[in-house]
Parts: sequence; C-alpha cells; structure tokens
Amino acid sequence: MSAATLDHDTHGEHHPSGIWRWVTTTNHKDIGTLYLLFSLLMFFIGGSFAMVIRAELFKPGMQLVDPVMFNQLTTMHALIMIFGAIMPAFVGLANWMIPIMIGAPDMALPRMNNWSFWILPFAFTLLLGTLLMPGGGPAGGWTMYPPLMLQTGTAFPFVIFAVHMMGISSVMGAINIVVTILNLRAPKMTLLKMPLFVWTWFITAYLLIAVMPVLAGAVTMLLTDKYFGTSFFSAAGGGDPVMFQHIFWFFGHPEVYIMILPAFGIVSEIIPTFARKPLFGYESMVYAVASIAFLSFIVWAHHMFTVGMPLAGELFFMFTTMLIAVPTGVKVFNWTATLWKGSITFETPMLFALAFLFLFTIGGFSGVMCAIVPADFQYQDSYFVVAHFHYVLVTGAAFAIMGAVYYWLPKWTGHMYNETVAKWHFWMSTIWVNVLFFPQHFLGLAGMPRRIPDYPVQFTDLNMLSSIGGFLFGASQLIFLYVVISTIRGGPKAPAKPWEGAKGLEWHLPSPPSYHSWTTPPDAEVWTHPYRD
Amino acid sequence: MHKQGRTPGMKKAMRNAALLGLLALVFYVGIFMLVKWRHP
Repeated sequence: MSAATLDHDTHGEHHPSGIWRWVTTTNHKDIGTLYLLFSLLMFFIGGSFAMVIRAELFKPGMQLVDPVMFNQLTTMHALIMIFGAIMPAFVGLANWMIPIMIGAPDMALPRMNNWSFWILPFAFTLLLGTLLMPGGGPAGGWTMYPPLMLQTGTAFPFVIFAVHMMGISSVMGAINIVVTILNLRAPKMTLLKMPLFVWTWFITAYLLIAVMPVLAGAVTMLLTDKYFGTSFFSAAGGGDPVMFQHIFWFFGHPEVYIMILPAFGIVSEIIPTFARKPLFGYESMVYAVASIAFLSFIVWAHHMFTVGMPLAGELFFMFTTMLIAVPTGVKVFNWTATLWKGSITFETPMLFALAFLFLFTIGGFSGVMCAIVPADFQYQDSYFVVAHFHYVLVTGAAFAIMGAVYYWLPKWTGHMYNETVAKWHFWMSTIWVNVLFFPQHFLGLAGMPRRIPDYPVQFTDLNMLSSIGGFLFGASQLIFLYVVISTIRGGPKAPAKPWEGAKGLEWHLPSPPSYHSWTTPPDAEVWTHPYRD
Repeated sequence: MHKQGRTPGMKKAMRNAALLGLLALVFYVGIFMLVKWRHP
C-alpha cells in the first residue's frame, strides 16, 4: 500500500484537559512532548551558563565571576546539557516515534513512563537549587572525581540525590523502550525490519540499563565516604581514588555512545528520505551500531592515560579505542553511499543531517588523535579535548536532535514550519558553531588547559574569536525557539507524509496523529520495509 | 480499544521489565562487590 492515511483511531480521543492532562498522562505522545519541552528548557539554561563561561573567557583576567563560581558553571553546564538536555531530548523522540514507527498503541508500560518523566523536573530543580546553597553548587567537574568532589559544601548530598534520580529515570525509560520494542511490534515486523532509529534506541537502552547503575554505585560510594566513614576512594583509609575514575569512565564512555547512537538512527532516517534512496547497507548499519556498543565497554581507560597504568593497559585501551573507528567508518561510508546518485533536496532536516556527517566526523577524527597514547599526553585536559567532545556532542548529538525536530515537527503539530527561517537557523548555527569550537583545537595544542577562568595573554585572540562564535551560536538558537513555537501555534497544514521520499509506519498516520494511534496493529501489507525498494 | 494506561502486551512486557530491572540491580550491587574485592 502506498502512503494512504490510516485514520481509524479517532474514537480514542478522550483525555483529561488542563494541567492534569500533563501531570497524569500515560500517553506516549504527551510524555514525548513533555520530555522534548523539558530538554529545550534545559538546553537554554545550560546554554546560558555557557554564555557566562565564554564571556569570562573573552579576554584575560577576571571579568564577571570568581573562580569558584566559574567552576560551578562549568560543572553545571555539563550536568545540565548531558543529563537534562541531550538525554531527555532523545528519550522524548523515542517516546513520540518508537510506538508509531513499530505500529504499537503506546509504550508497553505507560504508567512507568509517566513516572520516568516526572522524576526529572524534581531532579533538576534540586540540582540547580544547589547553586543557592551555602558554599555553592558542585564545582569539581561533571566527572565528580574524589577527593576534589568531596570538598563540595552543603550541596553535596543534594547533588548525589539528584544524580540518583536522573539515573532511576533513565533506567526506567530504557527498560520501557526495550520491552516496547520486544513485545509490541506490528505483526511480521521482525527485528531486522525495524527502522534504524528504533534499532539504535534498542541498543542504547541496553547500554543505559548496564551503566547507569554503575554511576549510581560510584556516587553512592562517594556519599558513604563523606558521611558514613567508609574509604572506598580515600587513600588514607586504604581506598583508591583512581578506582573512582575507572568506575566513573566504565559508565562515562558508554554514556558518550548513549548520546550519539540515537543520533546515528536519526541521520539514518533523514538521509534516505531526502536522497530518495533506500539506506545503503541496512544490516551492516545495525551490526556497526551493535559493535560500537560492545566496544564502548572496553575503552574506558583512554580517558585516564595520564593517570598512570601498565604499558599493556595503555596499549589495550589505545587499540580498542582505535577499533571503534572501524564500525563508525562503516556508518559514515554507508551514509555517503546512500547519497551517491540520489535525487537530493536540501530541506532543513537534510541540511542538519549533512552537517552532522561532516562535523561529527571532525569530532571523530580528533577522537582518534586523542586515542594515541603519547599524543594524548599532550592533549590531556587541554582545550583540544574540549573542542573534540563539543564537535561530537553539539554538531553531532545536538545537530541530529535539531534535524529530527524539523523532520518530525510537521507530524507532531500538523503544521509545516517556515522553511526560510529554519534555513536561517541552520546556517547561523553551522557557521557560528565552527567559529566557536574550531579555534579551541589550536588553543589546546598551544597549551591552554580546560576548566580555567583566566589564561595567559597569548591565548587572547583565539579565545575572543571563540567567544564571539559562542554568543552568536547561542543567539541563533532563539531562531530555533521561534520556529518551534510558531509551528506549534499554526502554519500551513502538513499532509500525512510531508516528505516525498519518506518511508515507514509513522507516515501512514495523519499529521498530527490521533491521541491513540495503532490501536489495531497495522497489517504487514500496510508498511513496506523502510530501507528497501 | 485498550484502557488508558494499559497496553495489549503489557503482562509479558512487565515480566521482561522486571528481569531488566533485576539486571540493573545486579550492576549496582556488582560495582560495590568489585571495589570490595579490589580493596578487601
């Protein structure tokens, strides 16, 4: 069957109205919307911290904040952006899209879904509230290394509790995603017929279930070290502070992939649509994602080369890290091969996907540079690393999220967004994000350390350039806010399938879909395999 | 039409979710055991 709209579910429209609709909702679309709006709010709060950081670093000397406040801002910026913006944005996309992409009526455990979301506002209110406590908020970096982190004042137990709440929310969300995919797929949709966004989330959810408890364990031990007389990480009591770093990065490295695998899924949806070709190498994409996920568990100590470890350890972690470039290369090759001889058009989602392809690859290359042990001794804790992970997380994860929002916004709202304004958002973001982060490579190579509020005068020019890029990139996001709000409020009516080349079950539902969709599972004849002609 | 807050495959999904929750708990407890083993 072609893209005819299957609107047979309008009898299920009844739902509470007003604030109670949102507080008590068990509907995957409502919860997806809540996650996405929450992450947008956190994106602007974390972004405003970044603006202060860049303003402080605009020129040498102390300008706006004292060093303790600066450290609190860098710590909070990271915690908010990672746990409050990027992860909830992906969970929001998963909530909205996975059920309608696999022909399920809702997430498998809708009440737990509500709980997963509503923990988050409390967790982040608590976390942000610590900035107002005596002694200020956490200032030891998002990695929370002891003994530095143990110097946090009154805020310490509150931060630990907030991290636990974020972890519980993530694990519940991940469990829900796994069981939804395992138990609620449409008849005859075998695993290897699922859309790639679903596949990448399926694997990401397993990563979350495996590593969030490890982070929770590590921070629980920090708490007992500070308040209950244990010495897990205290050398004075026979413990080992380096052990914390190993445990943290056993969580932290898969966490990096938690923030990028769903982005791979999004790009794998967008590129075939606007190249009007099936995705090149579907199965190899799935195996590449699975390989990356597996390898992410055995590379953690590449974050700790300078801490000191046996030579065999350094070699092992160097080679396993370099090995990740192989499946990642498979993916970049397949996206490029999908574009080859395609009938390409450049709507905003496609522009973001193509920018992802180029700019994420730059972040990937600098990652391979950091994997080389002797070279990493130079890069460690310098602005080169800051440039590297911002290319991965901003032009990688955040760009994919923005691409996904433009791609599915007509589906969610029933309105087309303003393509001209959206393209302005894309070009402003892409130009200024490079002005922001590219000079930081050179600052790092020249020896500027990360997490400092002041620097020697020779770093001034590139820091000014980076700050100008930062302010304009930040301002460009107001265009994004404008496009999203104006599309929610109105605009030209979107058809069920606004993109000519789009395939997959979500495009068989009207835009916006009814409150309860796929209450009867779609027949296998209704959907074609999204990646094959 | 399923009831609000219920899905058709929910029973089986709940069993799988419980198993995955148990797996998460194993990782949480496991990390304490690992550290304890490293520093008896």
